[in-house]
Amino acid sequence: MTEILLFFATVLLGVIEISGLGGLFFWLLFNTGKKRNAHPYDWIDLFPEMLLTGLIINYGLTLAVNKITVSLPILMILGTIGFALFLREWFKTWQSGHQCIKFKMNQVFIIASLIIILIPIMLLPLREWDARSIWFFHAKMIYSANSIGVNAGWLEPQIAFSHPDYPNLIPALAAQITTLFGFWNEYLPKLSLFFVFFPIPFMLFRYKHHLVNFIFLTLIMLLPANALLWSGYMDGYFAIYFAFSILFFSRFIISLKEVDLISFAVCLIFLLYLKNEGMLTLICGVLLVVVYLFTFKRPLRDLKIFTRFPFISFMAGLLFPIIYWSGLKASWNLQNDLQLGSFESIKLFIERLQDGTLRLLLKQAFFQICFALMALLVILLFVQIKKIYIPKQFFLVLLFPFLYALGIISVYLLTPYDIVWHLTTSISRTFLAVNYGFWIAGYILIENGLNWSGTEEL
Amino acid sequence: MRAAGGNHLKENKLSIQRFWGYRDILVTAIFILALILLFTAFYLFAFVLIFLFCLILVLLFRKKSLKLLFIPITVLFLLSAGMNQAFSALVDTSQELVFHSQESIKTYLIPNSGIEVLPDEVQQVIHLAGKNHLKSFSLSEKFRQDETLYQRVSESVWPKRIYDQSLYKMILKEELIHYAGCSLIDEDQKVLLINCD
Repeated sequence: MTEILLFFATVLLGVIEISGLGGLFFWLLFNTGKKRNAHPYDWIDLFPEMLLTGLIINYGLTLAVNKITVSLPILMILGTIGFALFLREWFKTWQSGHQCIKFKMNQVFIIASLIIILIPIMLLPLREWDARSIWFFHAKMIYSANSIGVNAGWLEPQIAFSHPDYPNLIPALAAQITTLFGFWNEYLPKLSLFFVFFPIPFMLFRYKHHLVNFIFLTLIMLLPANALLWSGYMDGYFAIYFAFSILFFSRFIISLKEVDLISFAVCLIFLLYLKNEGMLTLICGVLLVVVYLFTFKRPLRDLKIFTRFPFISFMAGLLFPIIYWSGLKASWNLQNDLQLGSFESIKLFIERLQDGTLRLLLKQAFFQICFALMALLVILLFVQIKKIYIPKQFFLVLLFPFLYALGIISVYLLTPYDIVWHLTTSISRTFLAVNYGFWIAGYILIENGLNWSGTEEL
Repeated sequence: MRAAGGNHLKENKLSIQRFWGYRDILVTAIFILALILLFTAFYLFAFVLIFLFCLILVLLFRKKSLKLLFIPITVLFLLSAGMNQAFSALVDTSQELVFHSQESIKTYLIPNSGIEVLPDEVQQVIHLAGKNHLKSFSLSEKFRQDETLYQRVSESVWPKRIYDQSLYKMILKEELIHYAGCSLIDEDQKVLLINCD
């Protein structure tokens, strides 16, 4: 009984600390200074974004302080202050009549989905390759050394197979959890996955306008990742937050609300901290914004949303940990094993374009996304026959997974490893995000169709 | 912006004009390109059948609500999602939690639990290294040749280090003949700890 209580107390403490860190960051940026309360939205509505921001801030402060046992109390104090501020603001908005978190079925769905994911996270030990050899091995290194710096052993030749240059948000969080409990095993560090999953049900509930549509969105968001949600691989969460960034960007194009832009930015930047592929999604996301600015021809006043001081500070805060980690890696001369951009990689790229490797790659890639593409075509055909207006943002959001797929294909052409081996062991996971992107494009078409009243939008 | 009401004929003409607007041409072009790709690509036959099935459903339901589109989409989705293994894992772990909750939670909170998923050789290396209080050791050639074993040992024994120069060596039983000059320190079922001083 004591163990069960201790376990749930840890989960609760983690949620409070992480959401509190994010809440403190939001409060400082959007609720203080001369323009206090001048914003047209309640930042409390951004609870899932607060959680993601809290995870990033947690990682950033751990990097800056370096020692886990020193950073943990600091983070807990800041998290508690932030959570208290969040409760105060929530109470004020609740008193004013604004229902920022609706109850009844929302709670049932959210609690049920959290429990369903927590069970296999708790009960299945670390078994899969990436989980054991990369993410949670890094966590073990950080936990053993009580440090996320070079003392953790990133430069040791023994662990070169473990991709020591990968981002360490999840490993740092797992190390903090095991430090709190005081021991290591093959179950406990996986609790970090629960905190990464936590925002997802809340984000899904933003799209509960039509029941059938909502069920469809929930299925396409959670089912393709299936066991990746608890096995310790990051690819499932990467794909889900990639899909959410597409959804929020699509929403931002119509609403032009800062809250949607923040949601898009948080999801996109969070990908940087899950896998190195996050850099590719960031480049694709920036390209997408550039294409959007040129094709949608918004008036200048709408563009000011990108240049407001709180938003810029927010972005800087979210990007600080990855920039700091990149600086540390450069100082340690810790490089990625793929050696992208080197002379050898470019030479390989040119050779593979000519020797039939590209055809093999496209064949494998097509096999991964064929069902999603088919579904998209079926939906497109249906909306054409029904003469439903196809929104401009559909083409823009279709561009995102397409650009990302091009990037992944380019990386495969550049890889120094045997291409057949590399494809066999990874393409189903690396193309999962592309899959998600096409399913989400289909969802956007259906949602637009259900909302379409027979007139074109302005 | 299309007129919301007005003359019926004018509305039909507008809808026909809008049907062949630039976006519609783009979508139709994408559709035709995709069909061409399907017919000239690699794993065709089954996918073409599935696609035709969905197409027929769409044409049959074209006058019905958009919500019926979920039927063929869900079929395609379930074909691609690969839920079987994940679903059975969920069921198994839920059953274990319901019927053995105390033991399950306790296992979660026991130090060093969960290593039973590792190969026997790795578990025995962990056991021997812990029992003999080693801070570092080397691995035999057979361990090194097997990439999985090497990686599993490296990550499982951490923070103990694997150093080639270490006098303590973990070898498989069948390799003992190659280390005749070394002294046996400890042994398990498949793994021996030797000292090659």
